[in-house]
Amino acid sequence: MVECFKMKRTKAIRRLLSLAVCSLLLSGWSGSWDTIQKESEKLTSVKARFTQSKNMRILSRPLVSTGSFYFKAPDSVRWEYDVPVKSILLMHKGLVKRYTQGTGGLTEDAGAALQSMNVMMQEIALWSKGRFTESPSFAAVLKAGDGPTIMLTPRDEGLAKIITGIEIALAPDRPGLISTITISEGEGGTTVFKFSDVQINAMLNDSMFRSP
Amino acid sequence: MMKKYRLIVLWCALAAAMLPACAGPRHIRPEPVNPALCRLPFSSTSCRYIHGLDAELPGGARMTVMGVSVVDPETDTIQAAIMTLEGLVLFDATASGSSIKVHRALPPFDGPQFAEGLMQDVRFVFMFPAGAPKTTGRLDNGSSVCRYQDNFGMTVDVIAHPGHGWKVEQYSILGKKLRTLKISALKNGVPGMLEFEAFSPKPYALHMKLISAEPVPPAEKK
Repeated sequence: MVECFKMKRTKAIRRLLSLAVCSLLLSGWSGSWDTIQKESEKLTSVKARFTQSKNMRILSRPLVSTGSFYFKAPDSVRWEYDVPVKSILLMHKGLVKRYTQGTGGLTEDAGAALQSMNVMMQEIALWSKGRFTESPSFAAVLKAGDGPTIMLTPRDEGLAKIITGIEIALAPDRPGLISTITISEGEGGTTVFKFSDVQINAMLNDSMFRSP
Repeated sequence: MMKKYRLIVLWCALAAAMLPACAGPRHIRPEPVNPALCRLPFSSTSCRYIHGLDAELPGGARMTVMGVSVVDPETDTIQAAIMTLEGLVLFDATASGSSIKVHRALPPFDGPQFAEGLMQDVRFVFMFPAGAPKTTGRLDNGSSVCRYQDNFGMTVDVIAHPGHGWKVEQYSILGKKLRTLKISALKNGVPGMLEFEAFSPKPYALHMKLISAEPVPPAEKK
């Protein structure tokens, strides 16, 4: 059972962290893959608040988590949950660490296994260049409109059993900014991320990606 | 002579190692105890609990996930889901009586033994033992004990420490300690913290911090 925890947590971190990075890297684009790549090259950092709403059969109402998200090019991430469980996921120069609040304060978690880093870095490298269509994990379709949307579909059956699809919606009133990400897991289970207070290319110190 | 001495030392070491696991249920001084005192931290009606689960793994490693449990003692039904903090559902199943239906189990969570073991753990944590206690009494420290025994010879002691919460201990028919649960003082009738420990087949511990608890209305159960 404990080994299962390790493996699944690693996959979850890889998939979802990648998605969040990918989504916020989309800032500044308007509706074509060419534009995505050009705008993505201008990005040096992202800082945002997020609200995560989990819906599933066993819940009577969404389970809401909130926190902050930071990205600094080329590959530094700080994904910080405030509630309901305080935790900080750090990625910097190829190293992933997770800290969670326990009875003895913030403690490093064994779940963020380093083995996922190679895949993670490959995904980020692609997305940071706006090359979503080259992702080995998801096929991307861009739907233009007042609020452009990117639909991501798993390329292989194994991944499709875990995540059936992802929808990334852009804010219609603020071109280039992400409004929501909806991750579908089948049987009505979804996780919706809503980003707010997004700041682009703010000055972010490397130290915040190294330690909690 | 030396060989005999080594054998004695080895025997003592083995006996010492086995002792904690095979000591059997605690000795109690029989005397009347109101079972309601032992039952107090357990809900007798359907409830939904959400916990932050801090798992302590063999070797000292640890990790945190979230758990949702819907427990209905009236119908003997348990629903349980485990998800990452990021919301990815790792496991989702329903157990009713002796049958288990797994709604989602990502490999290698998809083994039948995993589901059965997990649902037994959830049942132990949230379900009060059925029936009347086989015996009641007190420990040497004055704590009250309600002792239950099922049809398979499994013993469950529910120990009430006045002002210091409860402890539940489960033993096999051979007296081997299988599971324990420490229950903190109640807040609005619900334990804010649960400390679960399983000893077999692989030992692990869960520190369960309550995020929310709510009654499940009859309409939702349908």
